[in-house]
Amino acid sequence: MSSRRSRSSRHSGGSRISEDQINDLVNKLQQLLPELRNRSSDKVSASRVLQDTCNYIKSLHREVDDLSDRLSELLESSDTTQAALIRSLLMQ
Amino acid sequence: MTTRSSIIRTRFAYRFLRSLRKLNQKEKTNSRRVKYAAYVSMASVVGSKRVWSRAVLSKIRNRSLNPNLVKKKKKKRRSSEESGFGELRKIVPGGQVMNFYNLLDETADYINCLTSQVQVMKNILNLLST
Repeated sequence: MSSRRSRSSRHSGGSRISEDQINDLVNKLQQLLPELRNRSSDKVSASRVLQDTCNYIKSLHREVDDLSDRLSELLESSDTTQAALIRSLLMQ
Repeated sequence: MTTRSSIIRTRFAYRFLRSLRKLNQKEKTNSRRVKYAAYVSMASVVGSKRVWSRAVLSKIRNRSLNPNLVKKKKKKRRSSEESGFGELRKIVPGGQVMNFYNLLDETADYINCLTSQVQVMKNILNLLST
């Protein structure tokens, strides 16, 4: 455990991280979340931002799953025309 | 910022379409392979400068070699004051080895890339289904 800690602290480049820097990042994250984007940052707690971040990432993962399903179905069903289309897209 | 994400979208689209074409040529298309192709394409576009992209690439490589190995690693538990971040650590690739600051930074980048990935996949799907 302790060795893991020391390894991860190396990523910070040795410098101490201030609370302001953390807050800046939390605000930055908030701006990326559709549900919290338009709220002022002092009204949203950091833990709320983190929770919503998790939920948002999970929903994006589900979207990727769903899109992969649909793409593979489409490619399997009519392979020649789709393959030609993909090829033409790559030519652009 | 906008230019960076548009560059990423273009590069991702190119790589992803190329992988799809390869899968299609070998008649190996299935949902799981398409999904892997999407994540690998995005991670390759981002390259080695991010922890999350390195983690995605090595995770998928390891999984294809030995699926049991990856599962065991996941069991490690982290008891800390950061219980709220525990979930984020699990979701963001490579999150287990990051400090808190890096986790937030990598998460922001990961979200940007994932939204681009979803957008491009939607566009491709629309193009192919018309």
